[in-house]
Amino acid sequence: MIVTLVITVLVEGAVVIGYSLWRNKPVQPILLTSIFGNLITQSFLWVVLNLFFQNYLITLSLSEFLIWVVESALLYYIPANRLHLTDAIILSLAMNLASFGLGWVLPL
Amino acid sequence: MQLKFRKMFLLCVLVFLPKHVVHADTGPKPSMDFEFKQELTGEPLTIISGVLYECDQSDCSDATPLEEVGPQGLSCGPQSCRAIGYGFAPFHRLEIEFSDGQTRQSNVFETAGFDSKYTVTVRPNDLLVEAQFGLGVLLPTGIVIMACLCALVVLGLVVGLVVFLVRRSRKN
Repeated sequence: MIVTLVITVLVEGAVVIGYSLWRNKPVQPILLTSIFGNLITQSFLWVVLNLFFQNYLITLSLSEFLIWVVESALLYYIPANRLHLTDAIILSLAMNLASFGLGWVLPL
Repeated sequence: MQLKFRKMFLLCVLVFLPKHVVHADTGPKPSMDFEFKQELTGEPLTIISGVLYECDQSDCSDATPLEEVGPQGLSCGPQSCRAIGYGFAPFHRLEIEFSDGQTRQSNVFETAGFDSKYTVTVRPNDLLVEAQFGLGVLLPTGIVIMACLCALVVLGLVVGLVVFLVRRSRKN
């Protein structure tokens, strides 16, 4: 779980930094929000996957969707991030697609 | 300031350019670890190859080998095997070829958890697979506590979202 969390934070951190530089947004608060958000959402993912391991794909899909919504909300509601709702949703989607996509193909 | 962040970004990119296959995972996948012990006399056997059969029936009459798709599959070392999958069937059977030229099959066993650990006893004519007693048995309590904490956090966020939307609609 720790390895998963660290790699997710690094991948999503890279996306956050790239997005913030591209759209001229404050990097530090968005990065901190992403790290804090990942602590919550990765714990959540770990718990639900352990609880419902017999339905892995359904559990993973639903959880990832919920994670996207929660991280979008976190990014949007923290004023220091200066993100519009659309920005927050797009950034959260990009972050999660990057980490999920990489995780999908990497061997453990 | 921007230059500093660009450097940080480049550093992150470099970190993610692996020289070899990265043995890590950002989307956790179910796994099974098999640790072998021998009940045989004589020279210790080593594993040559292995197949993990997936079954929906409890007698494994519908067994099909675990497909090799991306990271999914069974990989074996001389004394252990590890399976990763995009989800596992409820029942399994292990078939291992050993250095003595003999291929042994195991009993039918169930998926023990998300990251299951098994002890495989190598017997003269077959294998005995047993789920390991360990943290996994105590895990449900921890999982329930974590689940409650996560539920609280998610609930808090949802309530916050509702309150915010209500306040905003009143202002408008």
